[in-house]
Amino acid sequence: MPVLIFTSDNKDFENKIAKQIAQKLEYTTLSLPFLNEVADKYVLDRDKLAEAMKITPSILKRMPSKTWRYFLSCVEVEVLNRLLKDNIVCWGLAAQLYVVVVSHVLKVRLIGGHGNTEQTAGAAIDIDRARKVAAEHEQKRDKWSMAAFNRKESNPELYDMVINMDQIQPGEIVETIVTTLGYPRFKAMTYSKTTLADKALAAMVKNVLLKTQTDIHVHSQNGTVVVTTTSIKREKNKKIDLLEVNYKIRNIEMEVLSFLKLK
Amino acid sequence: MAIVTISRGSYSMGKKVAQKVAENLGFDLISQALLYETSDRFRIPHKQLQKAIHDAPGIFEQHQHTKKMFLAYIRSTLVEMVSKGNIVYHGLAGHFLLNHLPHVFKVRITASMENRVAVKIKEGLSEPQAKIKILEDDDHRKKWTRSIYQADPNDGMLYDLVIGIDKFSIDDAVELICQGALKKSFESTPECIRLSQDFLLACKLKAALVENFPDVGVICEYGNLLVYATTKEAHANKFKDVLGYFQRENKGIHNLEVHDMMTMPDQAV
Repeated sequence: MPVLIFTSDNKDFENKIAKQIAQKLEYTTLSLPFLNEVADKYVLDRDKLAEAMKITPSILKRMPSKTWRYFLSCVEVEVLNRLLKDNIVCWGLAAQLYVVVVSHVLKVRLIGGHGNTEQTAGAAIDIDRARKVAAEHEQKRDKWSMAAFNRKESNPELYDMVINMDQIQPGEIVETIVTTLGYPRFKAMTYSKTTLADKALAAMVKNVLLKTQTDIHVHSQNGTVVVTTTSIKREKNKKIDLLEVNYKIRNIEMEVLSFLKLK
Repeated sequence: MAIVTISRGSYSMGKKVAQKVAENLGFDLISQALLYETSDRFRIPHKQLQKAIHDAPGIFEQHQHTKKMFLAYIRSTLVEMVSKGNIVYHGLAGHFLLNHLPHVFKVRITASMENRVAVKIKEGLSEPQAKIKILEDDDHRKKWTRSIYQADPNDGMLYDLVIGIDKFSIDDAVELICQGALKKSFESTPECIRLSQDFLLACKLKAALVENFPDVGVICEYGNLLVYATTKEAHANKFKDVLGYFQRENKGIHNLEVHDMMTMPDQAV
């Protein structure tokens, strides 16, 4: 069954519409409160984890790059594992950046609509000002997403649908997304489930390795994991040993990691 | 009375989608006919119009107003063609040319590079050739949009709905667009009809003036035309002649004023 990943530069609408869709389809939800579960599981500071989802690493912010990447990796592993269960509406966890090319996952982004939010109406902020604030926020998010996943969050090509809220009403958006999720193409198939499971597996291996390594890329296909890293010649064997020790210590299923290669 | 514009990256199945949307909604489809109609009305060769709306301005064209002039002609024709409503426009720059009309449902269809390359390979090109052709096309679109409208064609804010066609069947995409076009927000209200008529008058006057006075701006509100020009332009006999002729030949003009020495508003045509 389908998974919906939902994002918007307008947090008011993001929460409201995602909840309405989940309610209508009787799907479970996965959003920001899930970060606390992740923090507890990996024994991380809850506030720091929440901060890592917003900021880029810097010494001034007391968040070194290595820690930051590890924090993000913990979130990625847990979100992907949850998404394996299907029938989920997920938002606020940057899943659109690491769940790519999975056919039963519908990714939707909402933009605009700054003139009709409760926030702007209540505070009497004019639309131009609201747009400017949103553009600044989008720029920050793009900077974060580029640093974290090498993708711009605002790029429409990252999504299956981008809906502009300047003219379309929230109720109509809920209706459109519910209809879209009903299309046969968004039903979970064996192949798409395997793709998602591979992503979850690769994320898990990467998470384990990130504790000791930094420059690694992990890819998985049909349960076979390939770890790519760089090293100077004299360190090659040392690095291979380190990778092998890592997965043995972490007790990751051996048959899954049947092919571990250093390029 | 809805108007749908469908923009697309090259080889993104947008043409097929547009044809089916028009068929399903029972709307007229405008595509290449726009340039032929403009060509007939303004006696400009079709090829030159095609070049003006497709190619990015070259080094020597930067300071010429030919492109601006042809675009004013194309816009004037398109606004008149869509004024009756129930239209699907599938072609270049529809979302820009009709950006003053609130009841236009602006759609963009995108596809991944792999799928676009696959379409070109079916047409007989090799993979590298296909990639080069697509990248060239994209580059032209980007440069064109930047130079004429100072915008990025991939900016989602330019559209009401962007559909990544890779995960959808053509029929699904068509259904989504048809549903969107029939939503209340895109219904043609009396206010929309009034805005369309005003916009048409402004575009027609701009087209009449653009050859000799390329930098004038025109606004129309409730049939009152406001022309923004420099003092020199405003006092030229030719300028006065064109305005006089336009006023006599077009119905629905209540008043025509020329404003010189005033800043032109952003929404001026």
